[in-house]
Amino acid sequence: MTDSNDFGHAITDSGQPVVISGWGRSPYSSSTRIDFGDTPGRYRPETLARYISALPPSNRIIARGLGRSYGDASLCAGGRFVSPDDLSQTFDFDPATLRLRVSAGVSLDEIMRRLIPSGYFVPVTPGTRYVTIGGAIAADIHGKNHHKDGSFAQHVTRMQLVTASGSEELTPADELFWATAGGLGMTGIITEATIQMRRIPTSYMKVTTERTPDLEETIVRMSSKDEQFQYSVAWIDCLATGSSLGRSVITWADHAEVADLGRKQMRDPFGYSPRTRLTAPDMAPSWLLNRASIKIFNEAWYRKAPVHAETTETIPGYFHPLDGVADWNRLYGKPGFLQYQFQIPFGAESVLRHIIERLSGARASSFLAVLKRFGPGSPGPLSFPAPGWTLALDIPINDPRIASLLDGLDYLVAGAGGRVYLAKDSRVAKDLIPVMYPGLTEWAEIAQRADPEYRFISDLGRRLELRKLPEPKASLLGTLATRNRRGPN
Amino acid sequence: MIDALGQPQCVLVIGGGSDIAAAAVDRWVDLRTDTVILAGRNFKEMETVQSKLQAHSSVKVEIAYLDLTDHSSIEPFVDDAFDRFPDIDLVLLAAGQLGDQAEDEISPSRVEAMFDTNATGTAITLTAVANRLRRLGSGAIVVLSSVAGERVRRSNYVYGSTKAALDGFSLGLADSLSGSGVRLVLIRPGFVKTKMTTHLANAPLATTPDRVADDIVAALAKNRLLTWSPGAMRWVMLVYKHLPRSIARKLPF
Repeated sequence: MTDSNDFGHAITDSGQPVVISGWGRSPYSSSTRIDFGDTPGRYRPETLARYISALPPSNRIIARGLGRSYGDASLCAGGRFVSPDDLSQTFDFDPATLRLRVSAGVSLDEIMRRLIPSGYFVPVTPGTRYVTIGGAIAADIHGKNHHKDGSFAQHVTRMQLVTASGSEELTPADELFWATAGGLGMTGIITEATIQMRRIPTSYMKVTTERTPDLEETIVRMSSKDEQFQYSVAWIDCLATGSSLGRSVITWADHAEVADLGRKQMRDPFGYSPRTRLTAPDMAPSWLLNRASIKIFNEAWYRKAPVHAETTETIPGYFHPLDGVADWNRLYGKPGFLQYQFQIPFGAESVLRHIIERLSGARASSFLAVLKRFGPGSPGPLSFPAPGWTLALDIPINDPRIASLLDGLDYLVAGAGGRVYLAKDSRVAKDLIPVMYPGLTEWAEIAQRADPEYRFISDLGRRLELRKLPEPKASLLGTLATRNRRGPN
Repeated sequence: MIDALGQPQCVLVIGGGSDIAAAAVDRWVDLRTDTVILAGRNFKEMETVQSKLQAHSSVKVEIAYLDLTDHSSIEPFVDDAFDRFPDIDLVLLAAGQLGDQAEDEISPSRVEAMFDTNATGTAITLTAVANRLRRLGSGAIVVLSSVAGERVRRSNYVYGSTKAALDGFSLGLADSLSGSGVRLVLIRPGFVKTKMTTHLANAPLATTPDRVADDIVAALAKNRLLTWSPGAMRWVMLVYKHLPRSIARKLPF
């Protein structure tokens, strides 16, 4: 495929298909990268749209950022993908309005490196800086401040979306904006967005740490104290059983004021030097992380945490501890791992407890899981965050029995009116999606209008049949069945 | 699309009447598989598998005639299956004949038939299937080989050598599929108690279709190329393979 135009730039396929996977390294599939030419980023949205429309519609296409989604959300087997390098030339910050206009391929890491030293911070950051703006919107990511500030897309004031029919400017007033936020790339290719940044007093975090003996205490303390802090998260030991079930280390934080800093820090209150200390080897054996080694790690980590402490930490230290180890996903060895993240509404804490009991009782080992309270969700029909609790944990793929274990948990989650996070999913049963996401049909209809030829479908979308519109139901019985499937949400 | 735990959604079985295949498909149907295409010669056996699968699930099962000795029909069959079911994400190759060593070894035409099915027919199938899956950029091929092919023995060298051909072909194909997004999983079962072996005396480390099926599911989940079933067979065959021929010849199995 070649498409030249007056701007003198051609877009072609890069040639050979390559095998790609998500961060969990399973599943994988092969697809061909679209090549925007020698000069990264020198493209125009119109050229991209023309390239897409010239492809036969059976050629699927998906935008892939830094590949941090865990499962198959960024995969497009037998199709084409767009890489972030080609969407990274715009970086335009206006300090007066705090608005940052950036290309979708720009990472949060780059934004932080360029703007933290001047005293500006991203509105939402997940546990890694290595996500692109396009990915952040497509997954409608959340951070430790969700209970206060909501999800990423709620801080996006404008975005540009390219489909086969052209390029479109979207604002939060458009339904396509909210179908794209959390839409996992299946409404088109996000090429640019404007983000509402925030001012920070220093580049340090004032952190309060508390250790809790069990799940009840974790729930009580987070419920009562989260409102006092902008950021909150608990690291929970999912291997602890019995009276220690759900023991956690909660960290709350606010951006530190200059007065909070030590003398050395005060000399450079906006100092920011994120470092990668280690790189995980590619040949880690899959038995390295087993139940015994993880249990020892969790125990040591819990014991070293203070019962109560107030400290000052750096932004990477508080937000992105795992970014200190490059390619840490390799530690799980060749079979890879998956991340199970779900949300259940407030009031269903007993289900949360039941799930943690099942996880700790099963042989599925995991490092510390992350527990967090969500505030109100965004209008995105496929956006994951909704009021309630969310738990995320890594599970190594070392035992086929985890398939049925997690299926059992899915039913508990769906039954409680909760959902799993699609950006992390690599295995949920497709029948549960309309229950977990009652807005699925609405979303599929909007996506269908934006992409009537079904070009933008990832492997995730195919596996879960997300873009499939339901058969028209003629009978009353059919209508009732549809209504019941919508669940309590 | 096959998921992170190796669970397929749409399975094509070559040798659809096979007990081992039926047990494996039964496990997949329990979790994610909603479409199964059974291909083979024996409709009665395949219909039994179909009704077993549909007894406890709403899986769609289609039965198709395929004779691996009819070599020119194989590629059109495979292409037609992939055209009609573009979401096939797993092909299980379970076709094969055990034969009867005593009769086979003195009959050139029976030797030809054994190789036609077990070696030539399967190699043609694998090639046609690999071509389609390469284009899809994902999916899995599961090949049922046999320990009999690891070191071909006096007592069943006709069958054993056909499996040796299939085994070697599959391992080479697996290497060629590296970088295509398609995985190949090779299973080497030992003596399996199935309808194919009811007339034979049990061999050491005899196993069942259910246990082989469990090993297939696990091999896919962990994405392992080569699996012995049972696992201990690997060590038995390692020793056996290195026995001097003069001794191996005299062993009773």
